[in-house]
Amino acid sequence: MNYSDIVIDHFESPRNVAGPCSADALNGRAGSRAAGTLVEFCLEVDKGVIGHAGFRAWGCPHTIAVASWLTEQLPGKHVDEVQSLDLDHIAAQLGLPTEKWHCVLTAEDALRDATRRSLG
Amino acid sequence: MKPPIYMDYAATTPVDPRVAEKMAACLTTDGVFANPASGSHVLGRTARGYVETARRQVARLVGATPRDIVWTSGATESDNLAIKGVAHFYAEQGRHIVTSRTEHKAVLDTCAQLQREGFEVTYLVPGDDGIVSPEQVAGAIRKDTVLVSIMHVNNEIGVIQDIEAIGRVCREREVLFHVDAAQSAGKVPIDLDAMPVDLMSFSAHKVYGPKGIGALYVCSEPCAHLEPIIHGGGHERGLRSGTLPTHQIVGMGEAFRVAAEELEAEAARLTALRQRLWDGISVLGGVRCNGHPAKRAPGLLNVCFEGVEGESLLFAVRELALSSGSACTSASREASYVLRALGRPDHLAQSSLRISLGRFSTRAEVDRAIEVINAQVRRLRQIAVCPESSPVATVRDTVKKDSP
Repeated sequence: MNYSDIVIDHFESPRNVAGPCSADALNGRAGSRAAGTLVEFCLEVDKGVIGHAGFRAWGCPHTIAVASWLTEQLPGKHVDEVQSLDLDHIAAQLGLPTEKWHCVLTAEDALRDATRRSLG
Repeated sequence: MKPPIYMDYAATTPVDPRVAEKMAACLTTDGVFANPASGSHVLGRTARGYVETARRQVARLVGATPRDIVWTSGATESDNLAIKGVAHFYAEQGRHIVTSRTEHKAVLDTCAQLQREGFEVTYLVPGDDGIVSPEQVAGAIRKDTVLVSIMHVNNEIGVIQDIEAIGRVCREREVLFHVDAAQSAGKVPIDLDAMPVDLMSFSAHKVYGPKGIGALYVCSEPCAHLEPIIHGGGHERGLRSGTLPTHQIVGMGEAFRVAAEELEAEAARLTALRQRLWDGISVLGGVRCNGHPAKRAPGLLNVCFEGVEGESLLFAVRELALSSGSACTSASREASYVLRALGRPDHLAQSSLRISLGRFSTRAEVDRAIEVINAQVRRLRQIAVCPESSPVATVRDTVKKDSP
């Protein structure tokens, strides 16, 4: 398996690894051990806008990199905006091979899980 | 970038310099290059002498009679020749073979081919320690069983099967017994003179010899008959035709000679290094040794790490050249069939590392490996989501001590 420089960077130095999620933050997760990928996000949201984003991930280097990278992209975005991620854009940004797109899909599911409460 | 620390001796070994030197003397005009089958001139006869010396060296390591050693291209061919050879020769008497689920692919795929040809194969499931019991073998042998094939040392988890006891069962029931000894020759003592084994496969490149050469021991007393799979020229008693590659054979001979000389001291040294490695990484907690803790080859350790994913683990420890418990880091991330046969769930099988030490491994290398593995496992566990503890993810530290 080849990893792009940006994947290696986020794998080696993951950004915003979440500690305990505070009660008023949005917490969501997706994936399973059996599927080989688990992603969890912890989002601090103010008036529908994401402030700080933290993650945890159990999975391949791509999964860790995608989740870590997203925590840098999410702040400033409205929760509505993160309901569906631009798969092609993320795959291109991180140099993901097609067989690793499930990493992004799991991250997307985790974000939807986190934000479903705020969307009512 | 510095080359990684080599800890994959179970995959292959570098050629020992002593071996390379002997091989190089069999290639060019000033060396022993002639065809060992050219009995008409002195050059050919000299080459023949080299081949026979090597045959004695190989035989000596495993306590066999030299004439019972047949040269092949490697353990895969030896396994093919033994299994297909027996099955085809004895097809009139029976078409049933007994083997185990944790055999090397060279055995499993050969058996699968025979199934396509109409043979029946029983695949024994070893205990969760990786060991196949003689009772299991006895229970699987039928009236039409012609062959039992059980490996000596498992290539993934390193457990040593009780070949003597299984062999006795086979002798009692008058069924031929084949043993794949690719991983055990030169590492654990083998005495074919005393062991009830009819056929045994060997490889040179696992014992600091060259790739591309191996041997099959074919017992002549009692006599095991084989139908050859390669025809043309009738070399090797008609069992394996093809010009004998003198340099490869000489390499295997020298490799086995050195192994015989150093086996005892090397086994003690590697067992101590393996123990040091286990002591070093088991402090992490949530670490398990795959396979029987004591019945194992000196340099091989297969460990699963709870709370980390396999591909990330393997990439995180890339300073070390080793194998994962997963078949590969392919998209499918298929877990090892050996670890699955031991009842390990997929995710644990995938987060396993096979660490195999060898002749050139040092204490400093082992210490560095401990440092790297411990740091990376701790790091990955901190990033990981723990499935049982939502929403606050904490690192589960289930300490389970089972020392190999």
